Order: sequence, then structure tokens, then C-alpha cells
Amino acid sequence: MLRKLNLVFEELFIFIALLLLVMFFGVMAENFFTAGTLTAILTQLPALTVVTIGMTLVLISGGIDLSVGSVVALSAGVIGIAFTVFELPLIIAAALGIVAGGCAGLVNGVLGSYFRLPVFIVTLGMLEAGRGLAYMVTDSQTVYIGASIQSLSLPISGIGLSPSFLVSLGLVVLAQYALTRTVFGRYLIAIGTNEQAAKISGIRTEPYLTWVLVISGLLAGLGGLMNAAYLGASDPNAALGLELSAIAAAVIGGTSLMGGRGSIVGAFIGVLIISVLQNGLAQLGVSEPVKRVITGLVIILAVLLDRWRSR
Amino acid sequence: MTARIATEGLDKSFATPVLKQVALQISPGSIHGLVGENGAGKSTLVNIISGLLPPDSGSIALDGRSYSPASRKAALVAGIALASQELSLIDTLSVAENILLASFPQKALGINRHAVRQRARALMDLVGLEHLSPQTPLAQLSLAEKQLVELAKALSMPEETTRLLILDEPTSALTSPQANLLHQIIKQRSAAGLSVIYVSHRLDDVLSVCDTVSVLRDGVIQLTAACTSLTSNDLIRAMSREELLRHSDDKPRAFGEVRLTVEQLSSTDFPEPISLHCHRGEILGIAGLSGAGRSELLHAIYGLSAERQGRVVLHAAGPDTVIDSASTAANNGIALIAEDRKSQGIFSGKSVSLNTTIAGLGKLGGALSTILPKREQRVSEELIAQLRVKCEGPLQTIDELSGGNQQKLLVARWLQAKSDVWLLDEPTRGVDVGSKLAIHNQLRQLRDQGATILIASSELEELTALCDRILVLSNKKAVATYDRGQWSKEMLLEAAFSNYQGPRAAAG
Amino acid sequence: MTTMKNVLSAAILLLLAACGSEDTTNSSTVDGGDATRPRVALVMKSLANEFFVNMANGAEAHQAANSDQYELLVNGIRNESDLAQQVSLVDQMISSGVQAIVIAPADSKALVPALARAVAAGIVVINIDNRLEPEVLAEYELRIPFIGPSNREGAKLVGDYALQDLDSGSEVAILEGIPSAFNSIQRRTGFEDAVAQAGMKVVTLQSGDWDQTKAAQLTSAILSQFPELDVILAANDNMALGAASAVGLAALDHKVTIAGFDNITAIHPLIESGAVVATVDQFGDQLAIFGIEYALEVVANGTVLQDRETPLELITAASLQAN
Repeated sequence: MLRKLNLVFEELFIFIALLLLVMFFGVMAENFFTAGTLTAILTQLPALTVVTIGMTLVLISGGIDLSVGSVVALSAGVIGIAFTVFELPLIIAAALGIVAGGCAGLVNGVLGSYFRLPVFIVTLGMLEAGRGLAYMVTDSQTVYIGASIQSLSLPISGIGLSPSFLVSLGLVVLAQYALTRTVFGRYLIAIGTNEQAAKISGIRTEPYLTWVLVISGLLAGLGGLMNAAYLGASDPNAALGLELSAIAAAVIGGTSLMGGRGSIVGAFIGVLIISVLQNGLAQLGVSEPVKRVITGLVIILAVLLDRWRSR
Repeated sequence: MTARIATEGLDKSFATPVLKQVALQISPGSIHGLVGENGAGKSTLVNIISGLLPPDSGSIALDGRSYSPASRKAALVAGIALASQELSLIDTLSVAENILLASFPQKALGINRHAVRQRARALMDLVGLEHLSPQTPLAQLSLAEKQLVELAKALSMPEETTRLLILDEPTSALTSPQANLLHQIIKQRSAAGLSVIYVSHRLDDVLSVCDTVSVLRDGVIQLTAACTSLTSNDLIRAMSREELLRHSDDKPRAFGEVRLTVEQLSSTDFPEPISLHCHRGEILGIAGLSGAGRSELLHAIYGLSAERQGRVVLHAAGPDTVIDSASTAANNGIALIAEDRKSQGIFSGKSVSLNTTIAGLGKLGGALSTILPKREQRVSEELIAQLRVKCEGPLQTIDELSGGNQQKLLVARWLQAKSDVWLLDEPTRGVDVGSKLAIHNQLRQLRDQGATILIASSELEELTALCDRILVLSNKKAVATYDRGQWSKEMLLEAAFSNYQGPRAAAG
Repeated sequence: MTTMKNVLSAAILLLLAACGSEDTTNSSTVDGGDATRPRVALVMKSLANEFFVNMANGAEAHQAANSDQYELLVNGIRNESDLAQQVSLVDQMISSGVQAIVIAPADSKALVPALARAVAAGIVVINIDNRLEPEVLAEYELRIPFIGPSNREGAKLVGDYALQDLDSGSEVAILEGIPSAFNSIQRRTGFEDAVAQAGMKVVTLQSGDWDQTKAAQLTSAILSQFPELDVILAANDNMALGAASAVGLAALDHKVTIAGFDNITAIHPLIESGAVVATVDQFGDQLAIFGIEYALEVVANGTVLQDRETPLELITAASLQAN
């Protein structure tokens, strides 16, 4: 019975975990089941969602992208400076930020696949370099952008959802489709499972491994835009450690760090779990150390659940 | 006399029953053969006895006492040594460390390195690895050498406490001299009281080495008898309902035009250039001792080797294609089925269907082309039926299939990609007789449809049964080519040994 | 084999480059080599934070104007919680033979042993920005003077201003920095003093780790839990910015009064628009200069070591207009 359900909806178990968590906070925190909480969660998760999509694809291909947090800050910085100092139209500034992210991803990808350097090391380098560039671009100062960019984070009247959230949701669907229904996704899975067998099957692995990091970079760039829109400002210290949250969300969603296995929908549920947890614990007024312990335990539990499911 | 090991009513099911009421008795000091087609349940039985799997029901007795190991470690403590078919070695450790992994000689603090080297040296000499240093990293060894290391590892347990040695396909990668040495060793050990379970597809080996033999079919023991009373045809009949007899006609056949030309090809693995050509409708065999460069040649033709020089040209009705990379090869109709199925063939943990269609996707067009799951499954189902792959369906994980069926899926993968030039490296290694004949027939059928086939194999019988021509490699060099009807087994062997100097190289 | 080697060496180069960048981008020497002038090392917290960047810039400008008086070495760490790096910076400064170290410690306790080594080496040590724990100093029998503003008073100042016109029943939330940091504790205590004096209630106290995004997320959650919240007192301006953006996004039907601390440039538009009512300037750009001047005094005259308090100023919409 469970096995059958599982075939229909692989993310079922993790989804149940999310529901349990929501129910728990609903009982514990008096104002948890309110529109305010829902809006708060939906407003703050787009940046983590798009970054996690990229991270999940990279993990599935057997790699890892440690640079996403820094790239988010870099992109946000580029957008802030382009908009306030160079007074470019917002749409151009946003495009520049996303392109900056793509460039960082391209450097990662080319070094990782054509120069055959370990992706772990290359993106670790980019984690440092990207953060440094973010400080350089912003002169280490928070750049106030203002209300014009925040409209991306404000709910559209009538729908109740923000443009940022709709875009991130659209990307979840698109990426899940690309992963399960296109040759690109299939090749990523194959390369992540067994690179040698993939080569023998006629797959040119280098362009795919490059592209997946470029995509991750572009999505981190978009994450930078979303972060700036959320804050109404570009913070060069933004997204410190975001890569770890993204990896955690991906893993909670059933993605294997060994490559070859993963799901975008699952990762999105992972993002929801992390956001619900953060919000719920803040509403309960739990102290910082306890928050961290609980967050850590939930990550471990989720992975345990996934292991149990896949047996 | 109490049996060394006795099983009673063993049952085991995964998705479907794999073992049914298996009762097996092996006396102390006896060598017991275990044969059956792939998927018959041999590996499962071996895994249960060696503590890797628990049975669903039934019991085992070791020297009359109840024995139900909770883990491989518990089985080791009880005295059960195992040389597994899927080698249990660690690539990053040295040969010595691999051999003694389970029983490192200890000093007060840490490992006694001197003792490790000495004991490893002795075991390596015993199994015929005199030419290697115990410090050699395992990754540098050939498959045959690794198999000998696995054997040495199984023999590393102290003789006094070892009660049962299980050998699962111990000779699948070995040359005849290596296999003979192995057989001598186990005969000596059994004379000293050790019991042995010997699992193999090589029926002649089983009949000559073992005292008794059991035949498994579909999880049921069909036959247990003394080897002296049996012939290999008896075993084959017990294993399979069909009469499996080799057929080979000795007449040279006519081929089509030349399809593949290899000009002065060399790589780091074989510095001396090799040239060859192969026609449509022809099977070209590549013979040689283990380590002679058979696999390396196929890989180089396919465009995989480092520092590859020379030219590989594919001739077609249109313009010729120069093969310079694996993706060019695959997308122009060349198929490679590598020797090591696990690391170079299958996508482990993935469905039968993904494994079947992956190579054909390159023909769909761009990377953003859509995959239709329904269509993909239908395509896989057709191939499963065509090649008679034993599985639950296209969504089953490939790891749950037996080796022979996995091999069939690799053939299916390339059939689906519409390949017509086949590079096959040991296509029937570790495959049961039934599957082997099925694969042979499939290859003949492909040949008759105009395919160009290159087969590298360590089994001369396989090559002489299938091939139109045989190229012999000796010590990384092409030494001779024979047409059908011109060769004899002795000529082929002589050629294979011709380029080795000194007795040690010939043995390896 | 060769490719393996290439990969390895490339990886090592890259790592070196990564490590090297920490040291080079965060340190700079102003003016070089004259043995007669005293050499002063300024050891900062994160040079990625605007507050400390201003402080360092102020010090460098001061040195440029007084280049005949002393030499200056400016060093900073990568992020404010990287203690180990700051300890090793102190050791490097000791071995480079400076006469004085002016330090903004990343931690009020952990840096003491390293500074004890500096004092033992005959170096004058001046503590700025974040006060070293007196008990720990006593344990090492050290006298290290603290030059700086009282963070507690500053927080009280801005807190009083923010709360002055509100009902006594108002609900207040406090966003503190990293809970273990001395400044964070001082500012939180100052806020609490102001809230107590106004007779109001702190409904929740949470740590935003000095971080803008984190503060914004926390604020969203707090607003869901306490929809009637009136005041958010943030222990630095970055968190005030985050809180302001979350309040803006929540589209509440009442006003939430927000106050910050540090007076960074990005907060000005918000103060002008009223989204944030006030912040405190502790003249961070002057702080290092105060420390350096005091250090030079001690090196030259052997002045008795004593703590000194530096000025604070409340920044509001009115004071911004006045400038």
C-alpha cells in the first residue's frame, strides 16, 4: 500500500512531515494559523527556493555549489549599485545582477568540468571571491534601494501572492519538468549516477556539468534580486551560510549528496519545512541556541525518514 | 558424520520468491559445487550463509550447532570465509591492506606494518601474485589480479578457525593457469579439512574440482549428486528445460563492405600502434591473455583513452565519420559494452527503463527535447520482451536483476540507440550458460542483419564459436589475425603467449 | 597520474589564493619604514561592516594628516565571529614588533590571553568599541584601558526617544545581536532600561545575529504572533532596516515605531521617511582615532592607564535636516 502510494507521489512522506510540523506549531503558538503567518512565510521564501532549485540540480549531477550565498550577495550588490548610483532602470539593474550570478556560475562550471578541478574546491573559492566582490561592489555598505524594488515582494491585489513567490513557484514547476521530462534532466541524473557509464552511453558530460552550474549561478543571481526586493536594500552580508540551508532543504527533500537522485518538488517542500520551522520557533520566542538545536534535529529526522522510505 | 553446514527449509523472497525450501548438506573437507542460471538464487543462498542477508524462514546448522549470523562479522567469527563475485575490495588501499582488512595484525598501538607486509606477501605468493608488491594501490590492478586479491583476502583467515570457504565465481576473470592454481589451493585446503562452496558457471571446472554438486533452478534445488556420476550436459539439463548445445558452423561466410577502419591507433595503454578493419556482417574476435590490452583497444577505438593517436573511421553510404570522442562514437551507431558492468555499464539504483533508453536519447535532438514516460516505458517493454529479460517491468530497479539480465539490458540500450557497430568486452563474463547462448544467438542475429561486431573475450571457446576472424593481442601488441577455418586453439594460444618474455609475464 | 597531480596543485593554488585574499584584502599598511616613529597596529572586527570600515578610514585619514607622528597598520577579520583569525592577527602584530595595539575585540573574553602576550612583550594595548571583560582581565592581572562610548547609555538614549510619545501599554520587541557579544548585551540592557522606565512590556526578545535578512524574517514572524506590536528596538541599523522592510511588507493598519543603532548611511532615507524614528551615532569613525591618540600618549609619556568615555549623539529626522 505504502509502496504503491510512494510510486504515485515520491515526496509523500516529506509532505506529511511538513503537515505534522505545521500542526505542531498550530497547537503551540496561538497566532500561527493566521493569514499573517502565511504571508510572512510566502514572502520570505522565494530567494531560498530559487537557490535551492539550482543547488538540487547541481547535487543531482553529482556536484555541489558552495558559492550560492556569496553570489546572492554579489547579485544584490550589483542591483543596488546599478539602480542607485548609476540610476539604471530597475529591470536593467535586475538583469545585470542575474547576469553577474550567471558569470560566477560559468567560471565555476568551466573550471569544474573543462579544467577538471574538483567542484567542491572551485565553488569554495567562489564562495570567498564572490563575497569579496560583493563587498567591493557595495563598498561594504548596505545600499538602500527603497519601495520601488519591494513591489516584487508585495502581494498582487486579488491574488494575494507576490511576484517573487509566483516566479519561484513557476521555476519549481519548470525545473521539476526539466528534470523528469527532458533529455537535459535525464542526462544530469545519468551523469550523477555513474559518470563513466554516461560517457560510454555517448553523453558529453562537460557541457552538462558546466550548464548546471551556470543555471545555479543564474538562479542565485535571481535569489539576489529577490533578497534585495524583500529587504528593500542590498546587504553585502546577506545570505551568509545560505548554501547550507539550500543543501539542507535539498537533502530533506530526498536529494542524495552522492548524486543521481533528487526531486525539485521535494526540495521545495524542504524549503517550506525550513521556513515554517524558522517562523514557528520565532513565534514561540525560543532562544537562539535551542532554535539551532531543533533545526538541526529536524534536518536529521527528515533524512532518517527519507532513508526509511527508500528501503 | 555431522555435516559441516546444513540448511533446512530456507526461504527468501524479495519482490518474488528467490529461494524455496532449500536444504543443503556439506560434509567437512568436501568441495561442493553450486550451479544454476543467473537469477536461480545462488548468490542469495551464498549471502545468507555468509551473514549478508537474513533468511525469511528456515534454519542453518554449523557443525551440528544452530547458526544464524546477524552480520557478516558474526559469520566471520563463526569461521565462514567468502570471496565474493562483486569484489569487496577498496580501491584506495594497498593490496596488503585489502587482504588483511578484516584481521589486521595488531601491536600495542596501531597496526603492525611489518607483519602486515609479511603475511600479505605469503598470501600473495600463494595465489600467484608474486610479481606485485604488497604496497601497490589496488586501483592499479587488473580485474584478474583483483580477483586473486579477493581470494587471498578470503584465505587470510587463520586455517584452524576457518570452517567454510565460499567462492562465488572465483575464476570469471582468470586465465587457465591462474584458475588451475586456484583449484590446487582449494584442493589442498579441503584435504586438510576445510569445506568449500564453489559457485561457478564453468561447468567443466565444477566437475573436475568438486566432490559433490547441487543445481539450483528458480530457487529450488533440482539435483544434488557426486560429480563423478555427472557430465556437464546433465548439469545443463537440470538447470534449464531447454537443451543448450553450442552450434558453430565452420564455413567462412561472405561479408558486406568495410564499416570500420582503425589506422595506427595507439594510446598510453598500448604504445605500439594497432590497425584493423571490420566489415558489415562480420564478427571480429579479439583474443589475448588477461592484461594483453583487449579492453584498452576497444576503449581506444571508442574514443575514451588518454593520449589517443591514430584514426578511427566509420564508413557509411554518405561521408565517412572520424571517431574522436565517445559521444561521436555513440551518436554514429557505435556501441560499447564494457567489461565492468557495475562501474561502466549500468546506472545503479535507476529503473530498467532509464537504463534502456539512455543512449538513444542523444538521437532525439537537443537537450530540451521532451521525454514521454508512457512512450519510454513502451519502448522498454518491447525490448524486455524481445531479449527475454527476466524482470518485473520497466520501473523495476536494475540492481534487483541478475547479472545476465543486466547484461541483456545493456544490449537493449544499444539496440534502442540503433547501433550497428558493436564493441563488446567480455559480453558473457559471469553469465550462466543459458543466458550465454541467448546472447550468442542475439549476436549472430545482429550479424546476419549486417551489424559489425568486435568481441574481446578471455574464453577461446566463445571466440571460436562466434567469430569470423580473430585478432590476437599479446602483451599490448597485435601479433596475428586468423580467418575462420584457419585457426586452431593451439595456434591462438601460442600467438597469445608469443610476445611475453620470461615465465612470470606469461603467468600474469 | 599527471592529471591527478595537476588537479591537486591547482586545488592547492586556489586554496592559497582564497586564504591569501583574507589577509591581503583586509590589511593595508599606511606609509612605511621609519624606525623612529612609533608603529601602531589597529586590529578591527569585520572590515566588511560599514561601521568598522568608517572607523578604519577615519584612522587612516588621521594618520595621513599626522604622518610624522606615527605609522599605522590596519587589519581586520573576515566576519565578526571569526575569533581565531583575530587572535592570530594579534600574534602577528606582536611578532612584527609594533609599539601599540588598538583593538576592537571580536569577543570580550577570548582575546584576553593573546592581548596578555602583547602586554608581556611590552606593547601598549588599548581596547576600543567592545569592552573586554573586567573579571577576565583581573584574572590575567592586566590593565587594558577601554576607550569608547557606553553602548548601554546609547541604547537608553535612543530607546527613550522612541518610546516618549507612546501609551504606557505599548508592546515592545527587541532584536538583539549575537547574544554572547558584549555590545549586544549592553544595548539590550539599555533598551530594557528605557522600556522599564516608560512602564511598557517587552513581549519578545530575539536574536537577529546583527543580520538584515534574519531580522526581516524574525520581524515577520513576530508580527504574526503579536499583531498589536507597537515598537521594535533593533541593536543595530542593519537589523532596523530588515525590520522596517518586514513591517512595510506586512501592510499593518497601525504604525510600528522602529529604532536602530550605529547611524549607517543606508538608514538615513528611512529616518527621513519616518519608517525608522531614530538611531545613535557613537562616532565610530572617530573611535579608532581616540584609541590611537591615547596609545601614542602612553607610548610617549607613560600616562596612567584609565578608561575614557567618548561622546554619543541621537540622530533623528530633525537632526538630519539640520545638517
